[in-house]
Amino acid sequence: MTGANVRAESLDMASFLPGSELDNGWKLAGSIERFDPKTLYQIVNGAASLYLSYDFKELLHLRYERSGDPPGGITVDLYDMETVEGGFGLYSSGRHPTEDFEPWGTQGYRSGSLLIAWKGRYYVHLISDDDRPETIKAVESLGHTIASKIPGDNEYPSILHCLPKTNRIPNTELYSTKDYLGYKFLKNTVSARYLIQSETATLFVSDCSTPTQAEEVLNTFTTRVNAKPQPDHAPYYAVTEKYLGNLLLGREGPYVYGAYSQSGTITWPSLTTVMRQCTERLRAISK
Amino acid sequence: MNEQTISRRTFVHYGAGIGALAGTSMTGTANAEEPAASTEMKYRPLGKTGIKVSEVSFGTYGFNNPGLLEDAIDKGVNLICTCSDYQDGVAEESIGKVMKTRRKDVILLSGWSVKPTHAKKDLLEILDGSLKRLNTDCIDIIKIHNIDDPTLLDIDAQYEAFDEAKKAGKTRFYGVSGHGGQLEKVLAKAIEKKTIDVFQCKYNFLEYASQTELFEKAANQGIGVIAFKIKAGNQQNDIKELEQKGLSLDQASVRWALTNKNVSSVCATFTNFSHIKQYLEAVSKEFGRADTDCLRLYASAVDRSYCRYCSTCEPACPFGVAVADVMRYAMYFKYYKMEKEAMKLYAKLSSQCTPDTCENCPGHCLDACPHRRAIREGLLEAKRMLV
Repeated sequence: MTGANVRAESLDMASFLPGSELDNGWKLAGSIERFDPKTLYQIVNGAASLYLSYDFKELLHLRYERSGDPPGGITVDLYDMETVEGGFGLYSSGRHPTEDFEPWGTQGYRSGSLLIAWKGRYYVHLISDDDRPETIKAVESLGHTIASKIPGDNEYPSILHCLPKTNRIPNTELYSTKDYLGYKFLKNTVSARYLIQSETATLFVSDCSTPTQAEEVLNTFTTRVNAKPQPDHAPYYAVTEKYLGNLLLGREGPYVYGAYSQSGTITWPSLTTVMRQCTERLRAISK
Repeated sequence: MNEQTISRRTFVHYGAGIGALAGTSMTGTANAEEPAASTEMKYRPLGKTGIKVSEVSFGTYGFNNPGLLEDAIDKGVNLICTCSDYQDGVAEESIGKVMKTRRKDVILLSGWSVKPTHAKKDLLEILDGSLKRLNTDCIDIIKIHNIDDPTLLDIDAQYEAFDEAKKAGKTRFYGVSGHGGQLEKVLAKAIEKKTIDVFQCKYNFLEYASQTELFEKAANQGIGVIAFKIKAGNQQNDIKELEQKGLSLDQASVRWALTNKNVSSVCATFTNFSHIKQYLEAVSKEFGRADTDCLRLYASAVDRSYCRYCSTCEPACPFGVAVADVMRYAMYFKYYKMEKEAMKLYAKLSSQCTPDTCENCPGHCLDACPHRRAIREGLLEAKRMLV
């Protein structure tokens, strides 16, 4: 299953906001600021390159404040990432699988005074100035309201269909547009972690668009890490790589895929199990 | 053209930083073709900390690739810059995987966001979270992160927390990190308070002027400086001529920042192995003609292309035009297609603030703009769109 990322229809994200006044005295402070790819650096730190790598299109930046002693403040950042892949990619890059997830948008969570939600091409980021219970309540209410106003279905990027479901650790899926594992040739890549008999492996699948391009990517990769076909691991290429440990690589149609463990200690049989599950999956979706 | 013969107006036009290199020489010949003397990392002292840091340090927002970090460490990068806020701890965890075996090879810099409601215990809790994720019992430098309000430096809880953590051996030095609109005030206050060992801040060839003096004052006090956001908007992908001429903004901007000997390290983003090679090459050569050409080309392409809404020009306007607001509303109209909203906002401006007088004005604003924006033309265009 291949294809370019589909650009969904753009909306004015200001329509996701509940208005200039909320319950319990919270009010919009100042005006809504807008940033585009050329001006994003003015507000975001070196983080801007991450957002830009995920097709960032626009940021709405605003604050709600409440008077009192002490006063309260909630900073709201709404990101339009132009595609479902961009929205999910950004969201997944900061998501920890142990969070308490809520159905805010497609998915969201709160961690201390930070609230994150994602739906489609949109990424919602709220952070409060303090973590008093009444402020946190306001953050959750505001986050839920904003996320509920984002239209569309709770769809995930289609490339996630490449990952087998068996043994997959929930909420470990990541999407990268480029430079997966630091290699320029690994673009449009989805990955997830798998639990195989108490060992954890990371499986990744890169959509190279065509079988010919996938063959080139595989050749480049195997040459780069000195992976070779080995009878014990057939039909995959195998190597014990300096930084990744045991690594298996393969190709199926337009996909290059591989498995490794970031701890570097996973056994070959566990890696092979994950790879075979992926091979079956990729063959099934190609039919 | 010799740099010395360029008029002051041209210097200012292209960003005075490119020509006025802070303290080192610039070769007069194109050196892009010369091979690097060596591609080993170089090191500089970090203020009075006693630490020597790699001239390029590893920035980690969005980071999730332990292998890449290991390779960078193998190649000599020894300063890792992160923060508890980066992706809610995911970046620190990824670094922590490498710290299991490489802690002794690096200097760790992480940070906390200090809020007025924070007590000492809250910050110590944040620090303990970072220590756990980073797999270490000591973070060499702790910084107050992303500070754009100098009054945040008056919050005593941070110094109390730092002192307690330092006594417990959990950290060694305290820093300030910022890039926002009040950066110069933040840095000036940090110098005045004498409680800071390290600055980490924006520094680039288009917006540098006041920082050079601040860095000198910091150096006199033994404060080490780590620069980031060195690429002035990072728009090189939009400027085809750079690529066509084989010019690298990444390398030129690193070399430019390092011409200031008060800068100990440049914090860069690494997303692939090529970046490691590229930055090693950057530090292996002195800033030269090819780098100047690169930065000039970049500056001429972007410097006039957008208003920064900084309002620096407004006091120079004899008629009180609200330049920043008018430019912003024009941007909404033109780029975001929010025509009705932009026109409504414009209509709310008082008549004094609108550019009705610009047609016959010689444009005092142009000389006042530090970025040489064609303000008068922009205001007249805005008026045509928004009325």
